[in-house]
Amino acid sequence: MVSPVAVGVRLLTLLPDPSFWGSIAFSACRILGGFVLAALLGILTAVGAARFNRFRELMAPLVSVIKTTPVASFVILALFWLSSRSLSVFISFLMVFPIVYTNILQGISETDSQLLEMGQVFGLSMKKKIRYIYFPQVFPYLRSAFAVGLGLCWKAGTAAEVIGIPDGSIGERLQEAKIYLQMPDLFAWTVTIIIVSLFIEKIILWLLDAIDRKNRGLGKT
Amino acid sequence: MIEIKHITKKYDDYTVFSDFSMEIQEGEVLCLMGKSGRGKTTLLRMLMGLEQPDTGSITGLTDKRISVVFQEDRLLPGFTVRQNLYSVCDDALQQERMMGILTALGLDAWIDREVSVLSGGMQRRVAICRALLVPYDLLILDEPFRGLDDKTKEITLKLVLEEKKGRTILLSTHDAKECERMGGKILNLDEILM
Repeated sequence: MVSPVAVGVRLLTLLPDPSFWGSIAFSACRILGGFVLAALLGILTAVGAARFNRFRELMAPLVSVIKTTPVASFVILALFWLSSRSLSVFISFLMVFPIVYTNILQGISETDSQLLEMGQVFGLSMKKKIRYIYFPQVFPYLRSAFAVGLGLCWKAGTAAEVIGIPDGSIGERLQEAKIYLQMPDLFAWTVTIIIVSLFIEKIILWLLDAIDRKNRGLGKT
Repeated sequence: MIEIKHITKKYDDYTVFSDFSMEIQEGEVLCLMGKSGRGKTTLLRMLMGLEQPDTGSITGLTDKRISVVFQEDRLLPGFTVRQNLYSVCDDALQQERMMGILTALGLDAWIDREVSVLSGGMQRRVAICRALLVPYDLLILDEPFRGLDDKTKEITLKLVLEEKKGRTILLSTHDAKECERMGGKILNLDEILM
């Protein structure tokens, strides 16, 4: 094992190294790219599924398969068709998509029917329905999906990089640490992933909360 | 004129209306009375288009603008009184009118407070204010004065009548005094549906 001091010292020696930041940027761009794609597609398909029963029925087995298939199987399958550089985008997408889809669909399904009836009788436009009824009701589900999804996409994205070993990624650094038995490196990179993941999660959730506050705080339509 | 022709409405085995017909004249105030479960709210929901009769038809509503005070307040949680009112009307055009109604109902000082911090009676008045603010031809009031004290009820009733301006009002209530005060025709579903 390695002492926390040795890990801290190793981390401090990594900080001035441009390749350290390069690896973080490489992995973060891809993992977050997958997250953003999954969030967008998850929201869109959930809206479609809430609107059209047939589409919901079509989506159900697909989402179940994605949820239950082991990440390692997806990684190995994906390596047949994708370059190792884009592997973490795909894996991150697969981890986040079912969470966003399921949460948003549940949020829409549980939207207060009395408020929807109110909107119908008063003839609220779709824009107003989204702002005043759907968004406030779906927001807690969206926030929860993002909080869970952000943690998962880093875990799975990095694991995919460790298997695919794309050049310049955090996964490659972890793999090197393993091969050369560099325990301080392994722990230093693990700490880095945790810090970066938490930092990005805080920023994204803060942005989401700001959107919610803006939606509730505006006095005008 | 709104015509309800030979409607039937059932919930599972329970028949609420069976071959029921009635007419509502333009500008009329019609008070629906009756025990719970007699179908007052069901009738109002069918008039609002929220439910359909199993058989029969309702005509004369196509071009009607409907406003409503539901049995429940159905306010937008997390939004202020102002936002709740803006949600149903064009804020720029209705600002002056909105302040007038809010002042009459004693809510003007609460306009920028979130509705969930208001008392039950105040939330009720916001729901009434919302209904009066919307341009309407038919105003549906489903037990609108529930939870209001006598003084506030009287102020609210007076305002509803002042705002009527020749338009049709349908009031559902258990209280005969409210019907009397509204000065309209009374339709007792207990007697009709016996």
